[in-house]
Amino acid sequence: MSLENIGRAAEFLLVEDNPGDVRLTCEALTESKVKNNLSIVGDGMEAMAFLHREGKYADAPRPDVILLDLNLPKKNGLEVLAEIKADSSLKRIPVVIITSSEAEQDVLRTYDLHVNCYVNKPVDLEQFIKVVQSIETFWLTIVKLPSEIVD
Amino acid sequence: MIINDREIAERLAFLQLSPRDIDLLKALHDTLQGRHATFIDDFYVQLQNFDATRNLLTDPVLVERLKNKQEAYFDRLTAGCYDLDYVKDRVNIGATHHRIGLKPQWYVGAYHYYLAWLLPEIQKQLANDQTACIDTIQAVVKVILFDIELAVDAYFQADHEMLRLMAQVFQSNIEGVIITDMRRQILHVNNKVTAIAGYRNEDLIGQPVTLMLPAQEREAFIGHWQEIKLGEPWQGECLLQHSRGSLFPAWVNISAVKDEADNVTHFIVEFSDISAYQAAQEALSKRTEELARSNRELEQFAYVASHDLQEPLRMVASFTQLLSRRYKGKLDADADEFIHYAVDGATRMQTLINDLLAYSRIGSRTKPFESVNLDSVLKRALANLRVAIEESQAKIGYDELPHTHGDMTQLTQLFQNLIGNAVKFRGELPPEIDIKVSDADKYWRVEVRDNGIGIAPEFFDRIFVIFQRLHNKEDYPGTGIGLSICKKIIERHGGQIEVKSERGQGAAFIFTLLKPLPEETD
Repeated sequence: MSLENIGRAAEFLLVEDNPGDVRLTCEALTESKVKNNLSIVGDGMEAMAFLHREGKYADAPRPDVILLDLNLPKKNGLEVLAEIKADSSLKRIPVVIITSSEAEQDVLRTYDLHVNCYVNKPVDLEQFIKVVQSIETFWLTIVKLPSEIVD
Repeated sequence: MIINDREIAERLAFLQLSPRDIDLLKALHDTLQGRHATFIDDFYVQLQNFDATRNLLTDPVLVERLKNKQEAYFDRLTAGCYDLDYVKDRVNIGATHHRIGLKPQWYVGAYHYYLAWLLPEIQKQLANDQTACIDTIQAVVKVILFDIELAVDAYFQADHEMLRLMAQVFQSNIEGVIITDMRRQILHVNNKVTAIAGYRNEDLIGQPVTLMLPAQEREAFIGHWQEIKLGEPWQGECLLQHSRGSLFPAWVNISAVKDEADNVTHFIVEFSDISAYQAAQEALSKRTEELARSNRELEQFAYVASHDLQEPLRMVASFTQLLSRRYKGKLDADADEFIHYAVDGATRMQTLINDLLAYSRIGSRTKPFESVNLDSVLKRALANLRVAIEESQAKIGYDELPHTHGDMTQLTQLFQNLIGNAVKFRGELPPEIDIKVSDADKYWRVEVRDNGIGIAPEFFDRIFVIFQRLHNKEDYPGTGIGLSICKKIIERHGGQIEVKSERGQGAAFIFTLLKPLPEETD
């Protein structure tokens, strides 16, 4: 039913340019019950290089879930999302947008690009931790992921 | 008209009214004493034959009065005294007849009847003295001619007065007025034409009125004239040419003057210089536009500022909270206190920024207005406040609310804030809140009244200003945003909000909302 059954740690890719948010996400995930590895990239170009295992990312793991910020340098979250969903080798990886933007347009546009879910960063720390942990619990222990299916 | 003694003497001399004539008239007068009544009765029978006089003589009291007057009138004709007083009397009677619309021929007709009655009388009395008979008749005709002349004078004078008045109106008109003939040749202009457009009378009289039109306006003007000739007045803006050659914007009104047979005889062109008006209009619309732009910018600024401030603030708040979570009790007491204030400050600032964001959204994130049922708005607001209402045991009474034209979400917020305040600022007793609606012309007037702690009148203006609070945070928490949001929502909906209250006497918030547009009424 879940990654635990396969017997390896879950792989998260966090695309986030704000070190504070990176740290907060790390903090939230260290309190987690599920074994997980968190890879971090700071902009959209890096994210695509990571996913395509280019350059220094030649040995990068294939993420089980991508946590994607919208407001990113070089290549923004929408562009990254569009590229992932247009790439037949990447499009099955669930993408969770986690952003402080509450703009209705952003919500609609990301779903148009087949995002798997859209989450606002809560302002309150407790809430933030709860949300990150909920994301983790949901995607790692409830959902059946495409990466569980071994060809 | 001034008729003086000399003028009277001249007129009587022209008629060759002699002392003998006066004697003969006086002698006749003596014989007619008390006999005019028979003539007058007869005369009134005759008057019944004409529509114009019959319609004037329907009231018996009036008829009696007129008969007495006319008896005196004919009596005086032969009394032999034709002085200034006599003349004034005759002129006044003529003026009265003119005023009530009796034309001069009625005078002449009346004298005809009088002569028809009088001549046989004279003939009878002077049957033995043919010379005296003829001379008396001649004397009577002389004074009748004198009388008629005075009556006609009265008519002329009244018409002249009217003309003088009209000429004054023509000259003192605040617009330039030009009268042209059928071929649009200028006949008359008033003084304002010179004042506004610079032309002197002699530049214009006899010239075509198109003289004042610049070439680019002429074609359109000839087009309008086709309509005007058919009797349709034309009004509009066009450019006119000043005598110096410069152009000015004018408001022009052209109409045709018709005679009794409905044929056009003249045209009247009226115009005023509207350059000052246009400049003022332009300045006004420019200012309005600038205001709207700066308002939009301010709203945008508030939105962007509050939105962008949230990011760094989230960091401050999150990490101070993390600090508190992980190190509380592990450092010394000072550190705990510092962390407490840092967390508290950051939390309060978050609330403020959220409120500011909510406030700026009222203007910047707008939905188009639609028909809104205030009844469902109120029910929604009450549902959102359910916990607070139950906890405070508030009793809420309300009328059935009508429809308005607006934004459902914002109106729900409005009711929620007002009812929420009524619950929050309650007194010792459980809150009692009453919501009433009355009809106020184009608006609904909604009143939300409570029995809470009330507001002293000196604070009425302050309570609607953003972040203004009347109480400390320990007694009543909050940032002071609620009523400023209410005010902004109401103003965006074209209404007004006010408060009526006394300290300790409860408060009533009264606001107006537009009734729905006609096409929206069910």
